[in-house]
Amino acid sequence: MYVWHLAKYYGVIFVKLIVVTMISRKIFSTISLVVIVLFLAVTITPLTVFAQAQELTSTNFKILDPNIDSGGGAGDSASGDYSLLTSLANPTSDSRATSGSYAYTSGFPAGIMANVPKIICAETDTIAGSNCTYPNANGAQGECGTPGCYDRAKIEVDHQNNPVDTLYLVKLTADVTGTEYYLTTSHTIDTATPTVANNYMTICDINGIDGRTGSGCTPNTDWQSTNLRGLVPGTAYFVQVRALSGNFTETNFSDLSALPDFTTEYPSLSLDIDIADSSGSAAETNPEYVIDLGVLVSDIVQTAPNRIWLDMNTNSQTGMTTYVSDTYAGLNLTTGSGIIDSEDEDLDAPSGSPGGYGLKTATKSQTALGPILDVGTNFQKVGANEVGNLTTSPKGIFQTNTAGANQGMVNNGRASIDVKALVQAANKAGNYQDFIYFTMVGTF
Amino acid sequence: MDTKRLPNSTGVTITPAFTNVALNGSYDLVITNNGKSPVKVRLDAALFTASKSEPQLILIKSTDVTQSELNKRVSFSQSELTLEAGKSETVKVTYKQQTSGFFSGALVTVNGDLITQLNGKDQQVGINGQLASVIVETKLQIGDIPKIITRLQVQPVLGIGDVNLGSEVNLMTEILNGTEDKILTPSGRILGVSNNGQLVIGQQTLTDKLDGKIYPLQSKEVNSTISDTRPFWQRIGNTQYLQEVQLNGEKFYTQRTVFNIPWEIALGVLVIVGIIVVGTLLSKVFNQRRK
Repeated sequence: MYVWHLAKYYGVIFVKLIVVTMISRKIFSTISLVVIVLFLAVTITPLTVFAQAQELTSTNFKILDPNIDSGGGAGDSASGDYSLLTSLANPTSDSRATSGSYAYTSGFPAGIMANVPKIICAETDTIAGSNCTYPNANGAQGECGTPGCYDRAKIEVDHQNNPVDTLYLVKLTADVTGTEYYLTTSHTIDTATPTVANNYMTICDINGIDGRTGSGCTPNTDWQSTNLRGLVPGTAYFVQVRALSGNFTETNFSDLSALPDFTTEYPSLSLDIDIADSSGSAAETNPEYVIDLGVLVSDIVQTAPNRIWLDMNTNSQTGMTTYVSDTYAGLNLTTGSGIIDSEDEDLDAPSGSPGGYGLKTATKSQTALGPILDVGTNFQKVGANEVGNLTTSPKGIFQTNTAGANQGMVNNGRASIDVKALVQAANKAGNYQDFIYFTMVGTF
Repeated sequence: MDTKRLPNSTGVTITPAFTNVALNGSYDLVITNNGKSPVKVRLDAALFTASKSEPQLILIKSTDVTQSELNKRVSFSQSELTLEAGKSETVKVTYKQQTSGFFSGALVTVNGDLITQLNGKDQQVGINGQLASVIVETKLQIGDIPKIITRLQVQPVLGIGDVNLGSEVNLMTEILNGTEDKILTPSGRILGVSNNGQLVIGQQTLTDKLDGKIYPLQSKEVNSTISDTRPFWQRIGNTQYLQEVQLNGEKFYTQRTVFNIPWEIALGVLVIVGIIVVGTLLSKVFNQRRK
């Protein structure tokens, strides 16, 4: 077989040379002809040698469809020093390897699998020291408020050196029910069978950032903050991920953890009261909480030595409002009848009924999110002794909301309030008291 | 992987602060004392109303309804308890009676009775903290339906009025919650359908864009674009855009029709007209020269 091919090949070349010689003799000299003939011979003669199989069958084996090709042209080296002329078992050269309904993926090319990716972190309620790279300042509570995320979570996928265009599929399995969900491209979760269009994403799309060269990633701070949405509150989830890098190369899912990777919180509100002076931004005091105004001297505005400090935390995405109300709408005489009305006024220039009593917000802060805001000018007053009045109906004093760049959730929100009172000659002598209620309501 | 950590602050935490419970249903309210000393807690039934200006629930103190009347609407497995430091207690809350126009809930008062705290000397103010757990009944009643309005506007990206010369249309969805005591959880989609109701150009999912809730007397607007990828000869004529919005389990439909003249045809007509115009002009020029 080989000899026949070789003879046929050089036979063709010989005939070509004869023809060229015969044509050229009428035009060129003998020497020129020799040069031309040699030139043509060199150029026509192949520089490469084809390896031909001696036998396609033997007593031991039988190759039915060898599918020998040139490797699709991809074998030419950049230097030009060599060329790959043949490759065996190239699935793309066999029209039977793929169809609209199946793909035959065995063999060497299909063995080039993507690396199995890993989950770097999966968090809902961490504080500083989070395992996630983004965010890393205050953990998940810094993204969802305290005590953590109730319908969302943050995961980060480790690409394990897969190419930047590798696609990843994230699977969540709810503990107890075993329901399987897949992360969609809108970052919600769905039980529908995953598809490349709806569920497979790059590292950039999942993590919200991919700093590798060639990723073309436009960082998305939303997904860096939390990238699993629509989770069920109070539910434990396992997280797994698989990689797809080109056709036929999808990995298995990453290992299933022994314990759930994270548990979602519930919609929550936290409120703490502390009684301390103006330097008590970090003070923690125990109940019961009493503000002592001391002895009130006529016509002198008395600011209570201690402030009311409120710690307010919530994971409400829409925010919360803290209202304040009191029992008597003023300071009430403990024996007999008499009241120092709580009025919206500047106690340095009192008006209305004799004396006055009210609250003035002093400080507001938070570790993350929020911020804690005053509700209008109810208790945020300009004058040093200007106060907002207390009523038996709740009035907003602090809030978080989602207007503008504000975040509804808040992490370690803390605010302080001064209590001020003024007595005048017309007020009855005696001891006065009141009961103030701070009521925190979420808007989930 | 997720290391469970306590909230940073002390004080008292309640969960859930917001829950969907049907009438006669119940839920577990968990009250946690994060502080370092025991606290007394009292539970009361409460009513809340929605703010008309912003998504906000307001605690109301009704002079018309006594606390004993309120307690008929919501009941608790225990209404007073002492929480040791770092401990949680679970109270079963039962939603027994609806109050039209209001949301019911539980008011958790920390150190509820302060009368004994004050010693009657000087001027003293007792400070209480309260945390609200609000029940939101999501099921819409018949009377709620007319108060909910869903709108759909369809505007061709390239077109004149309702005539679409291109293959894309801008869609504007608006949902108005006119109820006073229902918080709507929306989801929805917009389908492009032919006259016989057959889906012809896929659908635009609204659910992700409607993320969040619609509070009483609030509205939400969503803008999106849908692309008709059919061959141009199939795009000729009317296409109906059917909006399906699901609000608390109830479906609301709105339909709009757009007449399509595919740009391929519009361009072809333009070319023919151009050839006629140019041809006419050239013939006139030649005729002028001949004269």
